[in-house]
Amino acid sequence: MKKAVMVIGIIVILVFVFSCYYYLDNTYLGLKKEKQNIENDLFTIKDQIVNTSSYLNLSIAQSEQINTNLQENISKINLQKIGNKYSLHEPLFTDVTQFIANDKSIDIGLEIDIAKDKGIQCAYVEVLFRSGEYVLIGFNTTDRGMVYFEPETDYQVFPIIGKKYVDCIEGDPYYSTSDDTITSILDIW
Amino acid sequence: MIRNKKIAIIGIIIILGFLIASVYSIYTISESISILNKETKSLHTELNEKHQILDNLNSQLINTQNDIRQTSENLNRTINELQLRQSGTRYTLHDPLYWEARNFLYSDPTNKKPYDDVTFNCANYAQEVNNNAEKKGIRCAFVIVNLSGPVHAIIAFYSDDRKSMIYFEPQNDYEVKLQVGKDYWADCMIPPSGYYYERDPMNIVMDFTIYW
Repeated sequence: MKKAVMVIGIIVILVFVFSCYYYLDNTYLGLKKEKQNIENDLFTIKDQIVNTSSYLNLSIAQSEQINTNLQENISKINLQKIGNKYSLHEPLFTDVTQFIANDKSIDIGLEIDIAKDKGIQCAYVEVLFRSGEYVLIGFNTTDRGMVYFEPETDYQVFPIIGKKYVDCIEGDPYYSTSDDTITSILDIW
Repeated sequence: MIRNKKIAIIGIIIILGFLIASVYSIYTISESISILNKETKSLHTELNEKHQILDNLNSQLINTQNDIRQTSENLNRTINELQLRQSGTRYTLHDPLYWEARNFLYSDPTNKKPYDDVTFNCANYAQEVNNNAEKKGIRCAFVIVNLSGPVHAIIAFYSDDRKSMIYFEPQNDYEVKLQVGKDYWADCMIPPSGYYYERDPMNIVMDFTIYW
């Protein structure tokens, strides 16, 4: 009886020890595999970081170059806009609409003086019809050709010989009491 | 009996030896597992940090590429605008010397064109001379003269040597000394000697406006 108990006890201890050993060995192998996987991921991600850094540096350099070109162009554009009554340039349509929007004068002479002081070439325009005339300010824009505006109302006018003046205005219409069919347009620069 | 005891003792020694070896192995493996655990944690931390760095880099890259796109669009717009502006004509003008103005008028053929009340009147003469002068870089003004009768148009220059305005009748290139209250043709015009214009109450200068 004692012997049997001893033998069973020894067997139990041996089984227990084997189980512990087996479990710990598996755990160790699992951890080793996990560590290997993490090391592989680290290697890959370090590679990606290097590539992305490289690409980012190139992109930053490209962005700086484009910015430099942009600033150069803006400077050149600003130079083109510089002028005075002795050095005039033909404006863009946006230059004209900006000028008309900001200009508060209603007198054609003053409006022409102000435009020319800014270096903007413009014309004193007589739109003639049988019973009279209208005086406009005209600009020969580089992008839209000749454009005309009424100095009093800032309305844009599209005068055409043979057409009634009131039909040529872009703005609140007014009604002529006489024949205002346009007979000629004089641009005086 | 003694033999059985010997066998039992040897068996116990073997089992004990085996147990000691097993416990030692278990201890060794546990230590290794503990070290591996620490290393794995450390690697995890490093991996997370690298992921963050990579995410930041990617974020910066996206922002930079968006900047490039936006700036490129702006650049293209400025290129187009610059081309348009450079395609326009630039005018460099100067105020002429007195004789420069006279010489210009002498060479300008506008005064030789026949007058027509409808198709080529004073405004047309003034317009043509004014525009011809500016094409040659000479700054010229268009002058509206309100007479007691009809409105009249002439041209003018600012003389750089005389430091004053000089007026000319574009229909005949005669110099004009504009004075309010005087007869435009009879009093203000300076014709060649021996020539004169007749007075007309409709020709009195009421006022004049200069348009540059």
